[in-house]
Amino acid sequence: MTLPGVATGRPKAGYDVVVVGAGVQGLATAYELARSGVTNVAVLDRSWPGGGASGRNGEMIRSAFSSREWAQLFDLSLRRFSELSAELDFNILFSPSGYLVLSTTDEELRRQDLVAAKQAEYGVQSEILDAAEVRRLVPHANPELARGGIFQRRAGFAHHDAVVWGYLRAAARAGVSVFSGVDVHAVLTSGGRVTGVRTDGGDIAADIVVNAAGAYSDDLNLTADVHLPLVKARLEMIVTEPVKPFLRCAVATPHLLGYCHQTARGEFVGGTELPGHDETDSLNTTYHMLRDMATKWVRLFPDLGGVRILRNWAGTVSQAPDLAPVLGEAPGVSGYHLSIAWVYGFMGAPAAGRLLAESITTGRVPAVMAPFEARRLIEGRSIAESTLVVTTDGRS
Amino acid sequence: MTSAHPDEPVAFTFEGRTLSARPGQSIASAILQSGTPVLTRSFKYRRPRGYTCGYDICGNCPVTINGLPGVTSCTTPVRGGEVVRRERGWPSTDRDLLRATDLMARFVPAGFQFRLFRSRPRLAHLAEKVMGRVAGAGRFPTPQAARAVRTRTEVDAADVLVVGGGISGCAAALGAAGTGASVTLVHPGRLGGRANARDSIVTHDRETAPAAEVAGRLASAVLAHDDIRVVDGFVMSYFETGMIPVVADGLVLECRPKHLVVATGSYDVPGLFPGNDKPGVVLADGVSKLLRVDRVVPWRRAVVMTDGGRGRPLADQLEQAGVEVVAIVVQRGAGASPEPGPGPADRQLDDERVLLGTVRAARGARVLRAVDVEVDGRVRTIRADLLCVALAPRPANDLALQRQYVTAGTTQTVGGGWAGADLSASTPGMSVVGSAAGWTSDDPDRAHAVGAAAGSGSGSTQGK
Repeated sequence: MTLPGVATGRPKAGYDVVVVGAGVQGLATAYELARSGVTNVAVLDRSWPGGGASGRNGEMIRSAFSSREWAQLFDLSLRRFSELSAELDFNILFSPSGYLVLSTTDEELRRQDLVAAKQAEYGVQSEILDAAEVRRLVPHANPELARGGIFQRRAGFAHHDAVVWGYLRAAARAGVSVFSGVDVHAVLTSGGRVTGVRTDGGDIAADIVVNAAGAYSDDLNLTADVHLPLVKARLEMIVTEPVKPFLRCAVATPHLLGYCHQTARGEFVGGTELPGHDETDSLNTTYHMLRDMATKWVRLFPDLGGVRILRNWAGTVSQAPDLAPVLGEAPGVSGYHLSIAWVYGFMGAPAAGRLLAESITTGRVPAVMAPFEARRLIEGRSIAESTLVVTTDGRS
Repeated sequence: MTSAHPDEPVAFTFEGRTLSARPGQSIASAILQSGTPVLTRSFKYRRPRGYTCGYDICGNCPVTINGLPGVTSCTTPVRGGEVVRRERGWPSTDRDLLRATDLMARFVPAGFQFRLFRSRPRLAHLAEKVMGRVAGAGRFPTPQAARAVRTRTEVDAADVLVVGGGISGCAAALGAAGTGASVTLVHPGRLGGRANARDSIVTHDRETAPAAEVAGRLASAVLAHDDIRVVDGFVMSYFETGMIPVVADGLVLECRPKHLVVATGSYDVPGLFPGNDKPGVVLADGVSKLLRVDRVVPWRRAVVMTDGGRGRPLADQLEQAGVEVVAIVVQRGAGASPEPGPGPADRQLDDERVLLGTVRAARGARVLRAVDVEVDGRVRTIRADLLCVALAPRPANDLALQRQYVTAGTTQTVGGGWAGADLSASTPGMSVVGSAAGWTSDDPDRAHAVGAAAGSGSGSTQGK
């Protein structure tokens, strides 16, 4: 079967750049490379474009984080999201409807002034809401849980498949070759330099290889002798039947480990997590998570009790101990670049694609990207971000 | 709520009118009986939709009952006192101004939203908000309705879970229970399922009888059996670790049976022709159910469309109910599968109603008025208010396939693991019986034997 934007035929024997993974990271990077003049680029994927976590996420977007590193990286992404429809000539349905990080505990309430002050310092505009303001913004929320929050007005959500399709089409138009059904088994290296990749259809030479393989990125790293402390994790979401608009903005609740929004079509889309990661690459959904999601969302929005769940899905990621992405050249293998360990990958892709392409084409690491280098994990440094809706283990 | 006399009519409110119904007849059948054929509108093009499948498969009949939206009206019985409203359409479901979307369909093709205002972000966002208002199918439940939905969970420890209580499911449950195994049988609504409305002849215990009669006997035996728990509900899904949650009224049963018997029956398939979604185009079992179970006859003139042996029995049921059958269109390859071709029962060319031809279109501005039938290259327009689509059914094997998929593991293995699975043979932990397994006729004795094997294989053969 041929897909629009996907190349027919086999890959050539060599490219300037080979990107492994046709998810949103790989496609954004390839598109940005082509935009800066590097068009002899192949994107290889064993499945279809966007078939992994790129099409299996909460599609929410914000830059109001508590740490400078996250806030600056994702602020670039947020800006890119607002430009993408025009630039890609494809409406990605970016909806700047606002993003609320809900405060439900005393501690979160106490901290929200401090977090917002920091955001202002990073140049990210956010508003502190009290209980009454949250109730006006999200009238259906359970007042016992909706006690306050930080609201970022120009944030929101976009259509995750549309972003993948938009990048795919624009990259293909700019000369990038995207291949579906090509399985990359190994990254080939010689004398500390990357030389290409080994696929099920033979070797492909390249001086630059980008690992954007999502859940399988760590497996690929091991073939290049790059050892990072990453674990696979399964994340699940539910989608309800469409109902008339009741939830205007995107909502994240760190305390409930949940994130949700309502699509233009009317579906409520929400994911939750339980402490401790679910270490698997299976895309099956599970009953215990379905139950957790149904319970938590009805607790937050009691009226959802009468709305049916239409479907649920699982997506898999590979995550680092500090849950921050790994961006940049791999330690010890020159020419081997990483855009991996994404947990907020959809949200970060437009920035990461641009920054990584810039560092590949100029040889200079942009300042916004530098903190996310892989070396931090080897040296045991971590990026402390306190408003995430994920956990690595039972500690939180 | 419950009437002292079970057959005494009860009343409910439908959009301000008071309708009368027999207790237990479906809400949809009572609305149809009152002369209202349009039950909802399609999501995007706002095409009128009405009673179609009869078994909560097609999604063409959701209504709001007591403030709770999206309730399937073809399988929800009238109890008396309900307040029922239709959902889509402005100013009403009958006359929807947004029907204009359908007339302008070529300007709003699939995916049109991705082309819209792509260089005008503000306009794109505004358009999305407007689309959100217009789309957004259902309404949010009223707080009272939402709070009335309360679900508790309970662990069900039965050895054998039988899903589907038609002839095959009931027989399999009795077979399993006969070995001393504990059995839970899940079935939505009245046991017997589609067989309750069918006239086909079934052999059971060396005797032959109409399917409805056999179904009734098996259902009584199941209900009288101490070791079979009958749950009015449905299976949510098959999950990892063998978890099979069963959803019933206000209850989720967490089942992890040693053996799963899938007896989920079959689906009627719709024919492929323009207008096949028009109110008045009804699938075969939906017709039978309305006539025999709900006992409502909302039609006068029918065309029956078939690709096999189901046309004549349906025509007979309609004639018995007083509906004039003006044509039985026998066509090749109309359904999902090209086989079987016209069967002997429908090829009786001495019957002047039989036309060897093809249904080309269902006509009518809002509801069915006529059917275009092509015979020998010539199209005839036949006036009718019912087009009964009686094509070869498709096995309802979703649950069985899902189990194969989930147990096959990750994305790496599912490709080869489940798609070509042979569901007719028992696999460890699962058997599929009846039309779900592709059996072409009811065979309760065989289903009983499969159930017995499942029961003795589940290990609990000691007496209770």
